[in-house]
Amino acid sequence: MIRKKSNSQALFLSAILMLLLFIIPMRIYADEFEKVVSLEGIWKFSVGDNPEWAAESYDDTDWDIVTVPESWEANGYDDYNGFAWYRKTFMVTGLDPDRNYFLLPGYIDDTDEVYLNGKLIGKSGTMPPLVVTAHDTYRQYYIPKGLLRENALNLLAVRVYDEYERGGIYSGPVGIFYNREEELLTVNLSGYWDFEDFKKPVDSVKRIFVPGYWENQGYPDLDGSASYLRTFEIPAGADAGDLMLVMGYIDDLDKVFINGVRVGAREYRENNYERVVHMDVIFRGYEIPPGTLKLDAENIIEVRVVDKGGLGGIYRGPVGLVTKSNYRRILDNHSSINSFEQFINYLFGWD
Amino acid sequence: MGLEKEQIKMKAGAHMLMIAFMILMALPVRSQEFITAQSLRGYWKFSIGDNLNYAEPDYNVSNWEDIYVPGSWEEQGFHGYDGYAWYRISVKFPQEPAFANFYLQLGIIDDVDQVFVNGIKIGQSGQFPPDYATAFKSNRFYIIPNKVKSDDGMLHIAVRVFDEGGEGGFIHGDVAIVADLSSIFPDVDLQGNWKFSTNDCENLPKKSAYDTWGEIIVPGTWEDQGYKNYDGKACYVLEFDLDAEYAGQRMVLLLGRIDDLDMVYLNGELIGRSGPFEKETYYARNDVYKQNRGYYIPPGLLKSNEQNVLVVRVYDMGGLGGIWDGSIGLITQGHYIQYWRNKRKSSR
Repeated sequence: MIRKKSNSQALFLSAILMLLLFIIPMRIYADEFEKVVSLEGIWKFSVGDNPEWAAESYDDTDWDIVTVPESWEANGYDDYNGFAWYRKTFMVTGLDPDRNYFLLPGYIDDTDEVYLNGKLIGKSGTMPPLVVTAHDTYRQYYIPKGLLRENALNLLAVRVYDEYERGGIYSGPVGIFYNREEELLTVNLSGYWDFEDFKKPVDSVKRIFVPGYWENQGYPDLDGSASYLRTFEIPAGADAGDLMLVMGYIDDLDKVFINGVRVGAREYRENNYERVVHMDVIFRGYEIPPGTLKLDAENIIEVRVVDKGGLGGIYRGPVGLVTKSNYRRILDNHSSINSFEQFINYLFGWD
Repeated sequence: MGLEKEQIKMKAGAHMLMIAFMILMALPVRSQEFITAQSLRGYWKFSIGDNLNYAEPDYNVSNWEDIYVPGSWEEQGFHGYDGYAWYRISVKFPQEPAFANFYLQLGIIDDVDQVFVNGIKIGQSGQFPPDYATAFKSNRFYIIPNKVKSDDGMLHIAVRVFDEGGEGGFIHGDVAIVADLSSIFPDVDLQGNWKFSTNDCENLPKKSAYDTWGEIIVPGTWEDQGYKNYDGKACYVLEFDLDAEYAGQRMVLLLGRIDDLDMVYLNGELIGRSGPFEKETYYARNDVYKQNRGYYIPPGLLKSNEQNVLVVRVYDMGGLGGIWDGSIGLITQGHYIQYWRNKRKSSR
């Protein structure tokens, strides 16, 4: 049913809406993350740029000391623009080999590359000369299995470039985390998926980590369509009729198929909706049509994603199959965003 | 009616405030940050009388009196003396901070002084007789030019003083060698005459083209150099030679401050910019003209066996334009890091 609203009322509502849209994307996405170790506090710091500073063997004894998270201007490097590096050593204990661990490096102005124990684990934005800022990008870098050492020193090195005014790791949380919502999943689909960029002919299948922006995983300029593919099995004893699919957050649009059956999609509608709603902040949960899942064989899931510009991909979890009751528990953590969507629908008289 | 007038007055007042504020905002900010590199408080050599040979570094002053600076000579055994006197002190030039501009801070001197470092005059306040004029109210502050530095690293400071009456000599105030950490000292100076054209050079110009262009002094606004009221795009070119020592290491290109946006090409390759050449960039970054440019040069791009060609495209949106202020040159990454560390230290 379409409710009619007067012009002035609509104008007023749009104004409120625009205000809200500025607030919502600023939200710090860490509710679902359980901290393993905080990396906030004292870090080593130097302006300049040198690939050797990523290495554990590099001696940073005489570097300056700064506080993270806080812009480098606030740390005394007023008026500095350009390259700088942050380094920190830390220990972790009690790692669970079945869990996926993520580094949340915080918000960084403008661009960054993050090295853990000498290995590049993620980057955001584009380094000079043609800088593309990622100062308001939410960063979550998957830590490849086996890279994090338990009960021994680990070294984190962050290379940053800032083009104008505020620079550096300016806002947290900063630390190593796991997504506690993944424990509620019957089938956890976080991990490496086959990935296909539709613009380029496929010569070999590329692998990409989900969740995570594809820009940070070897596709810096990809806008448009891409496809994610992987297989999974339903564990014995699971009630297939009770399972739903959660896809976390996707930038921007998606269509999901399991065993060739379309189970859900987030696409633009034929009204002005697309101009005001950020599809990338909508939490995806899809019902699975009865009979779609195979209990005694491999299932194939394909996610086609369309990115309208900027960052793209399945960028934030959890991703997997979940019972309906656990789905409601997960949804509680994300309800502010989804009730916002319902609110918009109500506001504009959309279904 | 009365109320309306009052309101109009208030509005006019608010506008005046706004305008005053905007003028203040538009003034270029030149901030200097001084730290004491070496205190000169303590005993100096002292002699009454006048002889310009006293300024010479090798003039023997071992039999002169000792006198505490600051403090008038009347307080220190020269009661009632008026006229000429000389002060001498010899110190090692400060090693730290590296690569800063140094100044000699001498406080209040009664009445007239002339200052020599290693025999070279670096400053004067007031006038000696016969056209005597006192400067006893001014706080003495003289830049120490690079050219006075000696090979042995010594600074022989000689201060010639004339006192007309009353207290004489160093009266009060800090006496020290201070360093200005706000200015950067390039290892390779690129200030001076550059080639200049008010045509944009999106397609980088050939040598045969820019050889015919006029010249402009960098740094300096183009308005001051024959391009009054010009706004829009312009192009600077500089050819320079470089020692192998510098070509072989990571260097940073210092371009001072540029009004408003710039794109910088070295040997045909874009190495940095302050933002895209679009009006939107300027609106979003209206302080960009005050920002000091330091571009990290990709390793291997600088050459020592042939000339390097630097092209700077500038886009000025209004008002003054060009590479207008600051240190222009190349600095090693190590010295650049040191500069920023010193600046931070002095700000804490």
